[in-house]
Amino acid sequence: MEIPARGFDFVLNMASFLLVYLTLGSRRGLSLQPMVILQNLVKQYGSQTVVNDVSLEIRQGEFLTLLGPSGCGKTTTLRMIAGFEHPTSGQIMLDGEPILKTPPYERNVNTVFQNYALFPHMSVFDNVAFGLRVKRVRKADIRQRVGDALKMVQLEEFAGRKPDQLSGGQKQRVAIARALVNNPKVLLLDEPLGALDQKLRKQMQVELKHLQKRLGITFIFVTHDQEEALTMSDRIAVMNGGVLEQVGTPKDIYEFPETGFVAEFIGETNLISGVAKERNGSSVAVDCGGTLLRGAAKNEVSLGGNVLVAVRPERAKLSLQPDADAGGTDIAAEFTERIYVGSSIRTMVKLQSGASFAVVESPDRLIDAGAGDRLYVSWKPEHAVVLKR
Amino acid sequence: MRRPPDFARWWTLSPVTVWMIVLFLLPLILVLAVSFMSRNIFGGIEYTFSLDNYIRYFDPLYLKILWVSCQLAFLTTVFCLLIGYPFAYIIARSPAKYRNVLLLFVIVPFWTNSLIRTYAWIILLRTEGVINTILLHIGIIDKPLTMLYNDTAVLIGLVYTMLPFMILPLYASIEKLDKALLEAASDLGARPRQTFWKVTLPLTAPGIMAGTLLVFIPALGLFFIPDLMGGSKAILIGNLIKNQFLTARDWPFGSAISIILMALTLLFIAVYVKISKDKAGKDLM
Repeated sequence: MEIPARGFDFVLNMASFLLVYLTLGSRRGLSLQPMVILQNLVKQYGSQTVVNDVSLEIRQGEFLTLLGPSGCGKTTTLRMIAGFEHPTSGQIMLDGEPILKTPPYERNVNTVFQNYALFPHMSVFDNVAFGLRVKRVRKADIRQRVGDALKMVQLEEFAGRKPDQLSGGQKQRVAIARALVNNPKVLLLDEPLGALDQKLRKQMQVELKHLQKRLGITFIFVTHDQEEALTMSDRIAVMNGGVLEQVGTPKDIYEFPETGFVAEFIGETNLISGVAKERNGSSVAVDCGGTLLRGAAKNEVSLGGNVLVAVRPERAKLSLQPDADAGGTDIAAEFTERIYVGSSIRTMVKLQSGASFAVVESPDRLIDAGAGDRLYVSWKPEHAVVLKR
Repeated sequence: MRRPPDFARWWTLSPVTVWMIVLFLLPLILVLAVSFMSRNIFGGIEYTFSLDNYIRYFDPLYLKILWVSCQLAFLTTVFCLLIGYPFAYIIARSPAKYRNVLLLFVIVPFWTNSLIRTYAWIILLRTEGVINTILLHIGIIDKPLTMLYNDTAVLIGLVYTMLPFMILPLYASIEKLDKALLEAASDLGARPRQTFWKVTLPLTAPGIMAGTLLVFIPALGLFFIPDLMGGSKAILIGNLIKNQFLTARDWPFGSAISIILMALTLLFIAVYVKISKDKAGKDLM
């Protein structure tokens, strides 16, 4: 009696194990395959190339930010994924399928537009229900799903209002609910927080990030605000002049910028130009007008070539005497001014080359110096990054 | 604090005021007054009060003229809308540099007297006209088509004349339409046709209303087009008024019909204002 029962148990166990394995396996399979693939995407308007050979893979459930100054091609890239623009060449894959021949209304992606683009003649409810109605979803289901979507953005009581009776932040939420109610594979957000004031913006950044984590939907977010990008993203793709400059996690992008543009665009940075002298592993010695500086170089740097040494202001230290423990090099500099920025003090010094250099000091550890005084700037070698010019 | 009477305002507005009184208000009062008098045997005016002109209008014959006129004006409006909407849409959605040129093409015919343009239509449509000659020549028809002196001819003439009044307000409202809204609709899964019915049309409704009013009301009163293109059979309310003044020399009756037409027009405008106000009110709710 016992053995067959155990055998049955075993079969059952195996079956459930198989079921779990298959479910997890297929899910994992999904996450292994990128949700969106951009392949050598090019967009030209006449003779002007707005997006130039952009290739990028975006994973399922990822929060990816396209970051860059205005006119860098980030919005055009987003619009090509949405289907409003057609690339001059290249391919876009969504969940393994090429989608360039699919019109926007058949692509399983939804957009949150820059100025929300809510339908002014419809109530909040009708705006959110729009996508379901055009797809002829059953009435009862529509009521249920729109209700859920409005609850998700905490706007249940506003269902009957018209868009012009809402504040900017509320409009923003309606736009998000209107897009998400359709269960898109990817949500595209085109500078969605651009029209909000600073405080609301910060709050929405956190809310959006939480929402994305909870729903597990892939977000592609376009912004020119580097702080926003650092706060929200899993990965950031920095664009400039239509070209992808660097793709990486916020930490990668901030700590190890690969180009001078990325170093300057993300956060504040001091750039010192020089000539690469010798290489030792990833450490490169750079001759900056007679002073030898060391820094880490991620990409290849040709010896003898012009390079930049990038140092974040908060990584540099000021001292009155040469600081031998720094492990790096002390550079002589001249105090110029101190700027009070609330939580920290920014001290500007002038290097011997004439270039100005910013150092962030903590208010309780200020060194005693005044205009014209001689100081020494130092930093740990691992905090300097050597970039190609 | 009491403000002194604002003479400056009256003073600067006085030319307009005088203009309105002399050229608009006085003639209107004159017409209104005459409509309550009666015609004497010499075709002049008998200065006695009577309601006869108004009572006389409710003769089925005259009511039928009004009904037919309304029908024709309605058809004119419908055709202007059907032709004008795509027209206005194409202009509003064409590249900015061509838009003004295209609008110019709509407006240019205005620079010619509309009477002359109506004659041009007659030349095209009459039995030995351009269209018949060409069609006969290439052998599509073997006897000339009758295209002139019937209701269709009047309709063609009215639609042609009134079309710009439909296109311009439509253009204005379509051009104002935010393109992002159309993209949003498409993004949410609406096919082009669904986008048109659910977004474009409702948002350009003010233009449709304005165009409808601008076409319907003048179409009701235009008399020279039925006169020239409709032949003797087509009597519309505009012709009736004209005939009372010029042919029958019954100014009081002509005035009464004018007042009735004007009252009808005001009614239409009132309905329009009410509808657009309701719409605006709903939008605010």
